[in-house]
Amino acid sequence: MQPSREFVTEITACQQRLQAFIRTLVYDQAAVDEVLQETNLALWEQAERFAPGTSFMAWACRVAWFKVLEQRRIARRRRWEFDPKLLESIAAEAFEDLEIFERQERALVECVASLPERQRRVLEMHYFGQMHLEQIGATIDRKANAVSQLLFRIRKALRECIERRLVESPA
Amino acid sequence: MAPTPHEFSRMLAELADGTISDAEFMRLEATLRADRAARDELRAWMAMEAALPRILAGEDAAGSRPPGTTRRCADGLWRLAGAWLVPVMIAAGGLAAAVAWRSDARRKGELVAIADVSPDAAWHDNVVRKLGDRLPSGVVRLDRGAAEVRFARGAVVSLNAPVEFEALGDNRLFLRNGRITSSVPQQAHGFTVVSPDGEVIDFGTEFTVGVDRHGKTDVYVVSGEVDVAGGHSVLDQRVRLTQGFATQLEKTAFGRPCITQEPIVLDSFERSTTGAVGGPLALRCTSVDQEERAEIRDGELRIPIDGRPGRRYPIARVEMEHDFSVLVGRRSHVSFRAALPNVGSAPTERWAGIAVDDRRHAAEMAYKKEACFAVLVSPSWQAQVLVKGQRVAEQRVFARNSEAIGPYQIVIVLDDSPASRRLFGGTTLTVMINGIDIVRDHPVELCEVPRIQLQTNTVKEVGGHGYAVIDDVCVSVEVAVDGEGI
Repeated sequence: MQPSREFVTEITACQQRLQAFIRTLVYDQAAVDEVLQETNLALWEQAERFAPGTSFMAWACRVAWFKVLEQRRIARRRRWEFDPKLLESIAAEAFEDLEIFERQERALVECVASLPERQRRVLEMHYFGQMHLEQIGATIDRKANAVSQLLFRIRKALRECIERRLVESPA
Repeated sequence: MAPTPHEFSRMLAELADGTISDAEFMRLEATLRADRAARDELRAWMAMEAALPRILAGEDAAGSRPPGTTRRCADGLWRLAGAWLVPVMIAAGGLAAAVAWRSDARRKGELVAIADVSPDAAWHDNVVRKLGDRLPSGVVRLDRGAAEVRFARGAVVSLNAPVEFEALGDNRLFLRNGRITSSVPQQAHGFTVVSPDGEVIDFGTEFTVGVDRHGKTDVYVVSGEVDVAGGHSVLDQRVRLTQGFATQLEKTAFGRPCITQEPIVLDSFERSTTGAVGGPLALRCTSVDQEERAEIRDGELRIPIDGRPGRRYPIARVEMEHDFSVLVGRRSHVSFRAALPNVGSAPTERWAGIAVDDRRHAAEMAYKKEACFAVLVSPSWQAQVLVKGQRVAEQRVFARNSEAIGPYQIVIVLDDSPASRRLFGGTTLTVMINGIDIVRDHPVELCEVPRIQLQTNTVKEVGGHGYAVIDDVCVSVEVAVDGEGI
């Protein structure tokens, strides 16, 4: 059966939030991509089960959660994996407010925009250009270690900025 | 002992980066177990990590791409765009560049002088600059007018407002926005333009680089040669462009740059000429196992091939000779098309292919290594599709007759079966056609649903000699040529 237009719209629109949800439970980027793919496939295969008007994101995250568990079962134990009970708590608490992913991302957009030019460029080189610390260091005349520190400070500042903005405009 | 907030944030950053130690991981786990607020912070931090590449790539919070950056998946085709890797050069050249970059950076600042400036030039910092003035270090913006700047090693860069850039040393420039043209004398070979998408490394040339407001980069080589690398790490894609060729870099859904538009061969064919033509262009067709006469009609080269059932693997080889030096400064393309006539019920195994092999003309073509590519078209052929190395299905692969097939592209539309949909999202794909390995372990990216775009970096030659192999069908292979000067 061909998925409905609404389904296609929903699955397209939720990709970023879905990825963020999975990232809170899986800490290896390649594994995140795998789980996302498997989740999308499962959603697609069960497209007819989606009831228009219900929360697609909640459904998608439930499927993603099962895929996270499935992946933990079939994959060799990865280095960074929390014990199942802790992971379950993290997931359950995320389910309490799935819309937070979107609110946080909107706040993050504003926070990134307000970064000083140089800091933004360092982030771009790291996340977008996928440059090595050494390469970033070469462009800003810093050692790799100092770049690592700088990246940490910028991210910490972004986190604080997000929280401030969420407090200022909670919904 | 519970970590301080600062320590806790550092643990999260290290967890995201994959650099956390075992001891710290256990400490983090214990903290998370004990504290709901810590778990909330973990969730928020990781969500931020997931979002940052997209936001920095210029996509908005809803995940849509900015106007003008829609990828070519919109037409619903899987596209395999052939590109050509030069792995040895990537490793050696990349490391050398990184080392040079570092030493350059130490000396950077005021290494760039104004060589020319238009009377109406306006710099963003409101400083009036005249001939011989040094540019300050850091980001420089020209808001109006034009200027020419000379780097200490001799590269001359023409700027047309609006343009925003930063000198990264005496032979390296970061172009953030706008368009520049670089003229590079011999002593400045290796002059590099870094863009958000990749790098352009000069080998004695004149070239233009443009970066639009979404960070999309295009490169056009006026003369000489450059290497264009998608991304900034030593293992990223790199292709060599020679004069008259252009390419474009674009960000992918996951922030990794890829080379999207393959170099365009500049050419002009005489439209009314029949048969082989002289002058700057010569086309010659020879058949391996039969005598057939090719003709050029309406700018198209037509090669009739007798591929009736019973004649196995008729092969035709076409040689194209051309004086590529006449192409400088113009832009057009040569495209290759294969068409299968309707012969009633189509045998499932029939297929047609065109493989182009430029090795005999290595000096003239854009890619000097790994330059073979193939365009494969069939209304019905069987391909094996492997996901993550596991064969998932025999997929029906077809191309619509009327779909344009650009140069250096394979167009494959996968059907709507569950196995095709399995490819949705980030994974790798291997495609074998009639036992020939066409694409191996290619990363597949999420694009529009249900339309998915596929681009590949490596397309292997077909058959071993870059020939087309055609089985059990009457086939005419057409080489259509069109294009106009710019």
